Amino acid sequence: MKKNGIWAKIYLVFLLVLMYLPIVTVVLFSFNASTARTPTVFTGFTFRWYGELFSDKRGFGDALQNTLLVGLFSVCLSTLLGTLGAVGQVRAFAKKNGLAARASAFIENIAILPIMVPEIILGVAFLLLFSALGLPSGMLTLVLAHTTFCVPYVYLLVKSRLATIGDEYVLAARDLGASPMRALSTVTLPLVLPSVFSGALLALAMSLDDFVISFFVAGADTTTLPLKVYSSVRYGVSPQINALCTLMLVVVFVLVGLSQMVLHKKNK
Amino acid sequence: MDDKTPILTLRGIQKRFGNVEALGGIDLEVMPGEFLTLLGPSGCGKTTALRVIAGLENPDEGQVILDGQVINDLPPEKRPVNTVFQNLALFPHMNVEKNVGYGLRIRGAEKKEIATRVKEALALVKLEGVEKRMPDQLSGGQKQRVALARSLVLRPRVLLLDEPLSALDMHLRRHMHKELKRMQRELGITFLYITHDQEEALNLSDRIALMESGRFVQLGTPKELYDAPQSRFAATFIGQSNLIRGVVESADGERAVLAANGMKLPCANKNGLKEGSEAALCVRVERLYYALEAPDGFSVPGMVVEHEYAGGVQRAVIELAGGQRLTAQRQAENKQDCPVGSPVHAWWDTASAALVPWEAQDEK
Repeated sequence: MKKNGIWAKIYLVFLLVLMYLPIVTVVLFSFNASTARTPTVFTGFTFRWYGELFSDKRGFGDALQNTLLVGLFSVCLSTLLGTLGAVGQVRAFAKKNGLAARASAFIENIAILPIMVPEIILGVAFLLLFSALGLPSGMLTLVLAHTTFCVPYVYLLVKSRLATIGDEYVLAARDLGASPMRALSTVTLPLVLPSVFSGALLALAMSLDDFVISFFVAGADTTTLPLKVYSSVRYGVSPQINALCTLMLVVVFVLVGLSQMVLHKKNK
Repeated sequence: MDDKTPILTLRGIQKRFGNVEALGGIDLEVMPGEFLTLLGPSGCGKTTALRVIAGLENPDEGQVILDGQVINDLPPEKRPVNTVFQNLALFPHMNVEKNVGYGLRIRGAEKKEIATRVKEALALVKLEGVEKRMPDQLSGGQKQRVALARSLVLRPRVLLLDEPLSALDMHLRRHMHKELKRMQRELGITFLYITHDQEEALNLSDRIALMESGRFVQLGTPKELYDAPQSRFAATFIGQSNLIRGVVESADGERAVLAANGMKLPCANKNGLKEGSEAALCVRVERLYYALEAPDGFSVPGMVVEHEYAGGVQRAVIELAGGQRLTAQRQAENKQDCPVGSPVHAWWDTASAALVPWEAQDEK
């Protein structure tokens, strides 16, 4: 037993190092005083790169603004679509069996397709579709594309919450005099709200750090933070980029953490 | 309100779920102010019947008539009936006060009226001082009372109760039985209660509708169902009975003689069975008497093969000459001891033991 315990610990440490070493390196090097183009040795501790990042000599401000705008719009849209989709599907297919149940399962599968399909394929597909439609690449196409891959996060969380609460509360509300719409607004929506919120936070995290799809649909004149990072590292990983990555990392961690907290606090 | 006019009528209600027949054409008249129980084993369709009345299921055939109006097409929110669900379905995101006031808020009642009526309802169910608690901070019994208050506050024409006490322990259930009767008396609201527990039904009801496989098999007062079961199902589902199977040898008005295992058993014939028909005699365990000496009048000889004390009650299994085994139960006090192996005489009041038909479907 004891031997097992030691091996299990070694394995765990190995796994964690494997997973987090690259991330730790980025965070560490963002505080590195070395001024080499792609520093490989830690020469001292400094906040200098964060300062430079904030004094914005390289246009990070515009990219940040775009990223936040795209995130805001696509999260709002996808939250609305995902929530209504989940609620609508559960209501439409409640207690159906046979063909209808299979149709419902099919709908669920295609609804989560955007997170199953490889991003590179989605990116190409969006590019093709948008040019076929004659939509100019830019903020609009970014918002549309981000909305598409954000919907499944909200949809899945809300749907699983709906499955947990079942239809008993809605039936009770109807029995007590609420119309279907009143039951939705006074009972169903308040009960799924934590999942909606959690889904929205997750979607925001996904939108903020998306690179592949954004790369295809952003066009030449619009840039987001991940795109900016990419274009900056073509000539070496500058310390400012490390600082930027560290900050993005913090934001994403906070969002995902909040999402989990909201979910587990209310859905226990 | 005229007592002779039913408040709620079901006429030929049928409901199928796919290939399964849940309700096979039920008719029922519920009188104002009465406590009527639908009693039956699980899966007999009693919950479906309730949901049809509440409007949560649409019947395939038949009419639901409330106060003389056909309400088939009314959605649940428009029906002046309310349900206490089996799982209670208290809204987890609302405190007790908000739960109880929900229906009034939906109806757009004024804040003051809501507050007054919620207070009244909570007083009625004897649940004061927990207004601000959330459902998950309540005990089982308290949740029960909140669910009752939430429905009663709307003063429904008929209150539908779907096994609301099934989650409570025995002690609390007994207590809630009394409480339910009290509330019903105080409010004069018609209660339509559902349960699979025959003891609960006998305790609570003015009338019981006994259900089996989507049909009513007998409708009557608890006493009628207990004393005069009309079928083998009724005889065995309600109370504890001994069934003695045989053939009606002679039938003469209210009296008959059953030939069973070589015995000739005189009995009452309230179900009007004909000579030569297959039948079973239903003798309640507490109405089967036994002693070492034969009594005056009717008795059959037998032998005690099992004997036990159970909390002040003696229970004995007596084997008759033909091999038939009967269970008898009596108060342990001041009774002659009849240990295992004693030859005894067993008898019952031949006017009270009911003769029920033995149908082919009973075989399984």
